[in-house]
Amino acid sequence: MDTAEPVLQVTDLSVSVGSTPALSNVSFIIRPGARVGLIGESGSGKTLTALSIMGLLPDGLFASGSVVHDNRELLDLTEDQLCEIRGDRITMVFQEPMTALNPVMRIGDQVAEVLRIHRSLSRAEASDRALELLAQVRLRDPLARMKAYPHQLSGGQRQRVVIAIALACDPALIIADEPTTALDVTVQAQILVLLRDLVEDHNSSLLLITHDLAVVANVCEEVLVMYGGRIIESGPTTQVFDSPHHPYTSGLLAAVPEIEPGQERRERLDTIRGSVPGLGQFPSGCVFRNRCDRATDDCLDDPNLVAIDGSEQDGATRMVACFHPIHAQSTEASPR
Amino acid sequence: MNDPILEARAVSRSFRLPRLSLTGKRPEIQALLDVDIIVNEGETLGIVGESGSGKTTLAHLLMGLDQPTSGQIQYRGNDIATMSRAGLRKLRASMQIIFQDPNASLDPRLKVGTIITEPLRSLKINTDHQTRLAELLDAVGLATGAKNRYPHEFSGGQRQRIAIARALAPNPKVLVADEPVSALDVSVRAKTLNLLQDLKEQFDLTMVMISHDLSVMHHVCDRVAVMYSGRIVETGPVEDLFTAPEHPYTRTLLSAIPRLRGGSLLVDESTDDVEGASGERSSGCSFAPRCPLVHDVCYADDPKLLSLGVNGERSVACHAANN
Repeated sequence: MDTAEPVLQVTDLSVSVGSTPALSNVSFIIRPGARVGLIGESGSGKTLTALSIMGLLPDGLFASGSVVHDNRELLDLTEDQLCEIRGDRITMVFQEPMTALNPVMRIGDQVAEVLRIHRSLSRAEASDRALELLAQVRLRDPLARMKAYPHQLSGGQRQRVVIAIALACDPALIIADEPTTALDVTVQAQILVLLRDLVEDHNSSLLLITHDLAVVANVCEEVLVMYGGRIIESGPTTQVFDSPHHPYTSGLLAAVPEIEPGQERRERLDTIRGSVPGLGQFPSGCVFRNRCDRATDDCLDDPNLVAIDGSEQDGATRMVACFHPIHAQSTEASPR
Repeated sequence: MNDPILEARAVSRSFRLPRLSLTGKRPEIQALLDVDIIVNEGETLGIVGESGSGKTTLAHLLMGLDQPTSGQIQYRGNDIATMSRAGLRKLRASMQIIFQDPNASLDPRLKVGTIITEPLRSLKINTDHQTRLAELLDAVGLATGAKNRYPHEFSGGQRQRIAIARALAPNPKVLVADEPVSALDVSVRAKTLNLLQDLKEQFDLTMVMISHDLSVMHHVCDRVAVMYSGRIVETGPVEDLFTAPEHPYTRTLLSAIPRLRGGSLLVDESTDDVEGASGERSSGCSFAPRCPLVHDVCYADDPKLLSLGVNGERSVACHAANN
């Protein structure tokens, strides 16, 4: 991996709802060509992170900290300046393609629209390019589909159209928020493979937001784990999943039922004590403290996300925010 | 093997859709076609399939919530279509269902105590409601104080527990769970699955679990039936079916699951999704257009669900596998 400037550098991103912090000091970078997974349960701040980057926070919420893309501070940009970046340099793929598409506009026109706005192409040029893009997302019979309306397509086909729109301007970064949650398992596999391949073909980077750990394992080489509005662990996906350092990551991995050929299934799934607190009800200090078996008085302080020595691999470093991290050796013995 | 508690015999169900044009006929879809299935007492049967494959229709028919267009549903050997009102009421008490979305299945204006004891009142079951309520809350791991609160005061996982307690109230024999954990977070999902397994033992339940999530199925079920386009294409004990799938569709499904470790997704990339579950069918096997093993015979002849091997535990509906 090169040492080129990151596509996105997020530093100390925080968002408060009233006086309650919803995101606290979220920092990460996305390098060119990287596919990064952002995982966490509902309420962990995944979507809020994406919306802050895109400048799409709901009214009344404000982000502090810094989000730098291409030497520009995104948090300081005006709405007009953001509009130039959105859909062109940074694009989004949402969970539900039916709501992301315009129901009364033909598919071809919706893909062409992006190119007409951001690339000032003529109607004919944009339409030709839209056809190419629909072929790239492997929509069958793209010429006929150009004239179709969203309701005439299946869920998987609609998500392909949304991906075509997201890729139209060869963006630097695609943020995909639960892109396959609404889809059947065979369709999900097709869409994930498509997304993985096309991000590479278009020299884009990917930030994939999901609650599904296995999806991240198959698509992303780096992973960020969120809990209670902060990143609690990050690093290369295989390393984090094979030997998690944070007790929460470890608990999450153990809670997933897995089909392992030739292995007896487990009688019971391992669970994490307690449940995710509501917004504003997280404990002071370490947010995971009240559910953690390793917690001590040290954990009354708030742990920083710090790098683990000697863990650098392909430019990605393993980081963990925990005073009592699980060591790689001991996790070998822990139940999966 | 235990006795069958529920049995579907050659069950079909078709629905008429709204008309598409003023003068046109109302189109008809076959949601279920010639389905045979047995639920044995004490087992957990899983029904898997993609959206539109007929899983939920089958579950509703099994519970007597809907009538088949043709075929028969039997509860302990009695056809439920011919049961008397009193017999049906008893039947309702012995079969209960939990739904996917606990936000939609709990009345937001009723207190939890009222919600959980409602089946006891509506089915006119004579027990001490308050004692039963306390037992149920305890069984699903909710505090006694929960009865005086409203559903919105609980988290998603707790709401699903309330729905489970309500389903258990009339002391059912069969519990049908329609995607019970799909709407829940990973860690909450694990707890709910553990709870269901505990309750199954505690209350001697037979469970029918519907899901599109094969990992969940693999974890909780004894036997699995795979559905595609309104019919059962393969059934068998869970371990056998997952380690040696016979039907090409089962294989497709299994290969599409993202694995946590050592996984790399492989898909047939030739085309966009043939979402083959819709009701329009031509003759022959409905999986034929997507099938890697397709032969001429598959377009001509609809394969029957035939049992494999000696013990008859597994069956598959496929020309290639049956040869």
